[in-house]
Amino acid sequence: MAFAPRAWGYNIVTAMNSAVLITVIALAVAPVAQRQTAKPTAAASATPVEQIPPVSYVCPMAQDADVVEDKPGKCQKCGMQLVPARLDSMWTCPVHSAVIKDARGKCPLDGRDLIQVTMSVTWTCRNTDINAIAPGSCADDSPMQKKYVARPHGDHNPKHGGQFFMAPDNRHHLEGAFPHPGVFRLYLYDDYSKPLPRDQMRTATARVATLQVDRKAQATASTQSFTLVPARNGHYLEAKIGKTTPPAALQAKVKFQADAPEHVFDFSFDRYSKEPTASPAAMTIAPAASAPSSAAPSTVPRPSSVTSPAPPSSSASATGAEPIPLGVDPALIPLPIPDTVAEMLAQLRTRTNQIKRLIDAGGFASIYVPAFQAKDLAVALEAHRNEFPADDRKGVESAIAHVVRSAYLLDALADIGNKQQTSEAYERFAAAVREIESAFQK
Amino acid sequence: MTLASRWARPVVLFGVIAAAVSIASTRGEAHKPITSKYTFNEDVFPIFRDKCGRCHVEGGVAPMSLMNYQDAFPWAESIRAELIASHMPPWNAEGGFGELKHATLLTAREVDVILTWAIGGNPPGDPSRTPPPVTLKNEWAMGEPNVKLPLPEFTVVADKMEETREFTVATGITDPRWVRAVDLLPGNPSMVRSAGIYVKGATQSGAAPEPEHVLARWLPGQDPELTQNGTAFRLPVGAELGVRIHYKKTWQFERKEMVDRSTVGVYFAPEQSAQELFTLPIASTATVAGKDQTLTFSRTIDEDMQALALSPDQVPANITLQVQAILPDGSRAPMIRSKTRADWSRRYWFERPIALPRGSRIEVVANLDDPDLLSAAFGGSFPPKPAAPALPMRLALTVIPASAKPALAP
Repeated sequence: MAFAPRAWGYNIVTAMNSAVLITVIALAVAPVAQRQTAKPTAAASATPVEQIPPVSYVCPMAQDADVVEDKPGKCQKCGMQLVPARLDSMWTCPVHSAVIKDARGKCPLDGRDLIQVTMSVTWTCRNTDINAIAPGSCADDSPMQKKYVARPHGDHNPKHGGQFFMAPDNRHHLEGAFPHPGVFRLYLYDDYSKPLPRDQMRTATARVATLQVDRKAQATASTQSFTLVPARNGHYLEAKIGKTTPPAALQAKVKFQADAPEHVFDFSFDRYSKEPTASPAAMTIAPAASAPSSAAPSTVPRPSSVTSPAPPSSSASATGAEPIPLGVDPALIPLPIPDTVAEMLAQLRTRTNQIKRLIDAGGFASIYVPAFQAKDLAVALEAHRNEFPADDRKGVESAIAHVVRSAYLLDALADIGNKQQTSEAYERFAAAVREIESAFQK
Repeated sequence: MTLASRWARPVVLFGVIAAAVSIASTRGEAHKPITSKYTFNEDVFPIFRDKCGRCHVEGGVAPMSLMNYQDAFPWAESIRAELIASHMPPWNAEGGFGELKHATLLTAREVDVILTWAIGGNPPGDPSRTPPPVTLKNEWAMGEPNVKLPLPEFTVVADKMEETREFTVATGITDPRWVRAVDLLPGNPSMVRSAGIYVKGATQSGAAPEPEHVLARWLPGQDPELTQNGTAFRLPVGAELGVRIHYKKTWQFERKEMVDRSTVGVYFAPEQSAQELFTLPIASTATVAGKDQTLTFSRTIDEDMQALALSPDQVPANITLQVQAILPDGSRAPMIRSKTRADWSRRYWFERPIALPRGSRIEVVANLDDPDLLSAAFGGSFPPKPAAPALPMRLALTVIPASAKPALAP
């Protein structure tokens, strides 16, 4: 997952209820808002005129944050009432998004180049939850403080049946697709997963290499490299990759601008990418004990080559595949924690092996599921630390914390689809798991 | 906590304020989906308060306060990155390898609570459980020192973000004394980032203090260690102390002038006699790392002694160090495994003295690979990777020779 909340499903109802409340508030005050924005307040007139972005209307759902209209109405994606917002283009640190500047430069915290993002502008009073879309005064007559908030982007779903990644610049996204024999396409998106406009597409350069995977030696070698060129319709970059057919491992190297760093993305296709046709109503997950399968019965619009990892050993395992409502994130299904350390370690080993298989298969989009289940098991193990030999207890506690951190690291790195970095994170994760297992076996 | 209760107060407050000031107010943000079962008020704040609150508080040295929801939640992404990389809390030694005093590590559950909250929509929690305000405590952690030595005032001018300044201060002692601890009280806690305090003498001006003379390595949020069991540092008559302070503004103070006047506090041992603490340097002799980016060096102990503390004294940032004693019988006594970070150098005190019979070898294995995978993946250029020739390295082991008898005041 990126440095932004995923559009996680199990609380979608909560989010929607919140959104409804917001909408109610918005509707209640909207007429007042329109009157007030037309008539500057006394506070505003006493100070130099401030440039205030115009009011736009946005979807309250994070995964539909790309929906921005200039008039009230309903979200074209989810049907919810749009809410008013003022949007501005600002510069922020790639990681420390609370740092906001009005011009490009270096992040004062870590020295990285600032990135340009769209932010919501609101005005607030100290120690309140107020987020007004116009400046004014607080209850104590002090002027409201201007506040910028990075708008959430939650849509990491592929649009063309391919594999979807976020770029390490924390802004761009891309999707690799293998639609036909010998054809590889790259779709480039902005921070809201909207296709990049043509002018920005033209500044991007990319090449793709076909990789030969030696599973026994656990090594890959580049065989041929191809330059991607913009398609005539400007919708994607494309390369002819010879007679390559699935299963195929491809590595794309992409620069979004001439002076930007080159990012590496590893794709793995076990079949051709198919444009999605209709939204399914439910997904199905496989039983717990099974290894990830290329024939995983997922009907959720996922990357065509990505397989579903085995879910927790829960009631699902007893009854076989169970339908899960659309949007429910399998990583958020509560994991039944076994009673004994031995059983916990067995489950942890299963998750560890699943992560390895997913990395090998290029199933980056699914890695967070076993990774988060593993960290839940690790947290549960911490409560049982007294069952480990006393001499090893401190080491076990440290290893358990490593498992938790490494699980979140795997989640972050898998989002950007770099196999080498994800594999390095896995090695740390697996080493910590082995240390726990070793201590228990004593 | 119910959804209704979570929103009830903001809605009411919202209405009151809107009416009172006659200003149109409505929420203008897309709402983040809340998936975290942990909330700030109930779950996250207690951890922040206990583990982070000495620096991440209004007026503290950290670049943001985490002591209330409004201050903390905009930094959720930063918190996530810092925790995954084990940068925060800045205790860079791993648990489970050696036993160290005052380790400030987060438990697995604490890490999970914070990260779940950070990536799960940052819910504030029940408003009725909003934590009380936390204020900065800038006071002597061990009580009033025996001697307080005010340093000269120093200003970091508006166009500088950081500066290192070395001060010399006379102790004024007319009798030799044993010292159990030395502390620093910042005049302006928001700009004093670190300090080294040493007995002035053999060190040339501008050079880093020799480890033999270092009395304390001060870091914000860290209590000084009081020497135990009749051990102490020697402070000769008329000694002068060198105080090297690294001043660093946080980003909120860019282009602003900041002034500090810190005070050094010295804690004497009450006894007339004490066992003197010595420092044993352990320095690398090789100048380049091996192919696997590791460098191993060691020092053999030529008399029986006890090791009490270890300080990575001159080492590159962003590498991994593992130090252990290999005893004459072949057994190994782990001392520390640590990731080094610029400006977070400290003296690590062992939980118990480590006996080092004559012939013991202190082995240091340095891995020069940057352990921070996350920063490498998301950005690449920072933190800068240490150049391989950034050697030699030096660590400082604080010891007492077994043959040494408690001495009278020096």
